[in-house]
Amino acid sequence: MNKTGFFFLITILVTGWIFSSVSDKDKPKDLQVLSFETINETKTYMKTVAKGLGVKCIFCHNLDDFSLDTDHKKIARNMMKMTKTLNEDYFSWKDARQIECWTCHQGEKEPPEKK
Amino acid sequence: MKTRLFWIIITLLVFQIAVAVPRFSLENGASCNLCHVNPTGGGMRNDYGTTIFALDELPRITMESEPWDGVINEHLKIGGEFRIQSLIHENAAGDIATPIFPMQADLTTLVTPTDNFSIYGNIRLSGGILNEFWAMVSGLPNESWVRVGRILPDYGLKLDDHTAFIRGGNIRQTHGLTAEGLFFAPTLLPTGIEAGTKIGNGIRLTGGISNAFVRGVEPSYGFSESISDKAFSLKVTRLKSYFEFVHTMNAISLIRESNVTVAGISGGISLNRITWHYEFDRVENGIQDTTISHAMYQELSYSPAQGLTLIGRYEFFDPDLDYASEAIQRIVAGVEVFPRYGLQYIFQVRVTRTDNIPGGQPTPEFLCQLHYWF
Ligand code: HEC
Ligand code: HEC
Repeated sequence: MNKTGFFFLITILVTGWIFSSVSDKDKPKDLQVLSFETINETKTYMKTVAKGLGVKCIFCHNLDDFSLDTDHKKIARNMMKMTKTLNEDYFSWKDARQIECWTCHQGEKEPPEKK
Repeated sequence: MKTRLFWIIITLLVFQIAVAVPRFSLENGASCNLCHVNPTGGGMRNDYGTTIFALDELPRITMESEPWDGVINEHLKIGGEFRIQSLIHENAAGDIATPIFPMQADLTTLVTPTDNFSIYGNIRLSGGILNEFWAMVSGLPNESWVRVGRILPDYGLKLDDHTAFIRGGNIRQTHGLTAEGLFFAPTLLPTGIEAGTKIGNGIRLTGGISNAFVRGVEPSYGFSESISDKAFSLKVTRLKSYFEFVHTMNAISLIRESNVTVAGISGGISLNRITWHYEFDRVENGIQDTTISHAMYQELSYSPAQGLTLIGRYEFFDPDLDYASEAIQRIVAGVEVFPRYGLQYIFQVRVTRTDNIPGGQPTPEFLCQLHYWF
């Protein structure tokens, strides 16, 4: 590696350390209902949401930027709000089963209408 | 027998590279770094690529329990990539040859001392060939990143099949043309610096400066090159989705190295289960001095079910502009199966046609590949 290359490498290393301290890469950008601190925790929960509805992430997300809103994402946000209220206000006794997307959806985009 | 040995040795030497599948990127309306740690795609997968895409969205059979994703700890992740291939074809003597060869056996490591800084290295278990490695600062404003190292330049569709004419083509010039494909051979990993940024919604820009690689000789590390001898590359990609299920990608790529100019447009459109990819390239003085060469790639794929894709593709390459003489075309029909996590089978039939080349037309070839990764 010649001098310029070496110089670049050092610059990159130093910049890396400097910027690393101000990183917010692992923080969700636009959570209005959920209260996860990291993207990783959010994803783990999202996997249960996707399984609950039997869909892929792309059903609700623009995969180029997960924080952007889509029509399905807006509905889902309301559903999350509803689920949260149900759990906090109505299923709040000790050991109460918690409502999840799966509870109603059972792996379908829309819960079955007929009995 | 001699031809067969030649095949095996050459393929062993040549068929090794970190590769990517642009189709997945397009189908998901996202850039390569949705699934790969390499911002321009290929090689080790990131957390999403491993624990979501490869686990739940790609294979025929999904598992309940998560397999090991190569994460050793917060700061160290390893990955592996193995490909074994067989190419059934008629050899020079008119016999059916069935070589089986390991195409790729790579171990990759990603060290992330901090969130924004990573060092990537690819260890070729078969040895011999120059390795890919880089150090990168990412997470800068506008999703920008900068990296230095030995990097495959970002140009056109970075296909997982380097025998496509828009990549390395037939490196052995099987059919007697002066060249049978562009110069993105698997061994092409020039040393340089590369940077990328998001300049608007869905628009990404990457650019790089590296030691000359189109006509240059990398092993000298450019010690005697002046800055004007270096290779400059630039690529602008635009991703746009319509009605939440139509995804498009279009890119313009440029490489300039002394008197060589390489320009291409590439991209595609994906509608639910159907995806079309294209690339057109024009190379000035890159294949031979004072000639213009053209390469083209068209791919149509259909996925009837998760984990199963039917692919048809057409390729064209002409080393010296005039379409009438010395051109090569290839038609490929194939099936790709992802039965379960980290496993892929590829089956293809390839028919090649050469124009105005002495000797009869080549017979069809059958290709089977087993691909395992984690
Ligand atoms: C049924 C719709 C739905 C599906 C499917 C879904 N998500 Fe989400 N996702 C949401 C909603 C709604 C929010 C915003 C929640 C809020 O505002 O608190 C969100 C937020 C996120 C965020 C945080 C984005 C940010 O920075 O603000 C990430 C990351 C994410 N989802 C990842 C995923 C992944 C990965 C999958 C696939 C496994 C997935 N999601 C599947 C509805 C969905
Ligand atoms: C109390 C039952 C219930 C729960 C719990 C529930 N949903 Fe729903 N959801 C419904 C019903 C019923 C519909 C259908 C509404 C309609 O068809 O008009 C629906 C529809 C939707 C839709 C629109 C689907 C479409 O095809 O447009 C989305 C998205 C959705 N739910 C997401 C979620 C998510 C995410 C969760 C978990 C956080 C959740 N739901 C939990 C009952 C529920």
